[in-house]
Amino acid sequence: MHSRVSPPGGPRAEVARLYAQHAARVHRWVLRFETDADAEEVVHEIFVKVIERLDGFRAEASPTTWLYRMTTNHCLNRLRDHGRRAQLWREHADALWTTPVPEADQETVAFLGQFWRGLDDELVEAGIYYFVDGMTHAEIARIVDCSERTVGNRIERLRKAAAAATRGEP
Amino acid sequence: MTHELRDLLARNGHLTMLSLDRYDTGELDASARRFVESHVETCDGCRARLRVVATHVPLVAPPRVVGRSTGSATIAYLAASAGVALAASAVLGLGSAMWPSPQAAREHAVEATHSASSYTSVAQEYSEAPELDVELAMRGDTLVVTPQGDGWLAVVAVRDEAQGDTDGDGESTVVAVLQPARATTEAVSIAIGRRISTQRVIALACPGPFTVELGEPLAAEPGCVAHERP
Repeated sequence: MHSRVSPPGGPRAEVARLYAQHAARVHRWVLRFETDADAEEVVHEIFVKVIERLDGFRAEASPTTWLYRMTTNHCLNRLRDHGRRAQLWREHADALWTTPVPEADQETVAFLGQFWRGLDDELVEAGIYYFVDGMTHAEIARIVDCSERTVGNRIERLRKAAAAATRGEP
Repeated sequence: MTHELRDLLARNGHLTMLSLDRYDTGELDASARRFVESHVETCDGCRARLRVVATHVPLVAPPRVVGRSTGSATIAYLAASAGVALAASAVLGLGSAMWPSPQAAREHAVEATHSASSYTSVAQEYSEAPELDVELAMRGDTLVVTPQGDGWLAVVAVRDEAQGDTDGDGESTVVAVLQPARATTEAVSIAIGRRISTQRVIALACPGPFTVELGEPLAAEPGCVAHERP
């Protein structure tokens, strides 16, 4: 793996370079959650967070993964704050599935869509990676920095929550 | 297949979007890069998605930047450095110290896909770009590429399409992206596998962002330098 470059010019120049290198990528990721009209502002919000956590970014073996996770969580938090998680699934479920995982199960999307709003953040994040991105437990474990078993437990809790909801249980 | 390689794939057997992005940023090690390239060669869907992922770089599209951030003062503060570091004259030409719009970047990237060149550089828009050069040296099976100066670097393997071309002006097609374009001032080491060892390997350095695309011809751009593996 290549070492990450720390370009000259100090932190400000480094952020400028990170923006140049990743902003369009982050914008593409953001579009999975936000409308085109809001995406640009969300990208800027995310890079403000990058500025605040620049040391963490430098320490990452995979800055792209770090940024991907930050983007996902930022978008999910935004949706939660706006009470729009359920709306997200109604409006974008097809795109969420078909873009990264073309053969994904549409029934699962609809299933999740009904119950998404009330779930814990960690379950929602795991659900995005597992059901939307189609990642393996091991890859999710690498991203969220936990064990595969923990990932498995979260997916299982997600399934149970959904199953309980279909039976009308709180 | 190792766990690390298997986890580059989604459960449906295709590369995850994150894997493609990590490939594009040059974060994957040699074996993972080969794995991705091998998969992409035989998978139309992932090849198309990789094109989408790789078509993102020309963030600094100064004359075309029309969108503006509605963000905070922090952004405006940092934007000044972004402008200076990346395209000062162009950004400031808008009369505002704003970050370039990612939307504008996307639009510019779409335009780039219609370019005749496999790598579309905005280098020519840097009025006072520093002189660039790049050195290539083989150390065993590893190619060490050392940029001279501050700019963007990419390393590709190409196949000559025109027989008998010896002056470098003929058309060469990119058959592998060994190092996606990125800003760097440090040397990059690239393991040259058996499959690549018979190909021409070229390092490109430009003062600003550019892209290289699999399957597209490699063409010269003003302000950029290109050197072949010894």
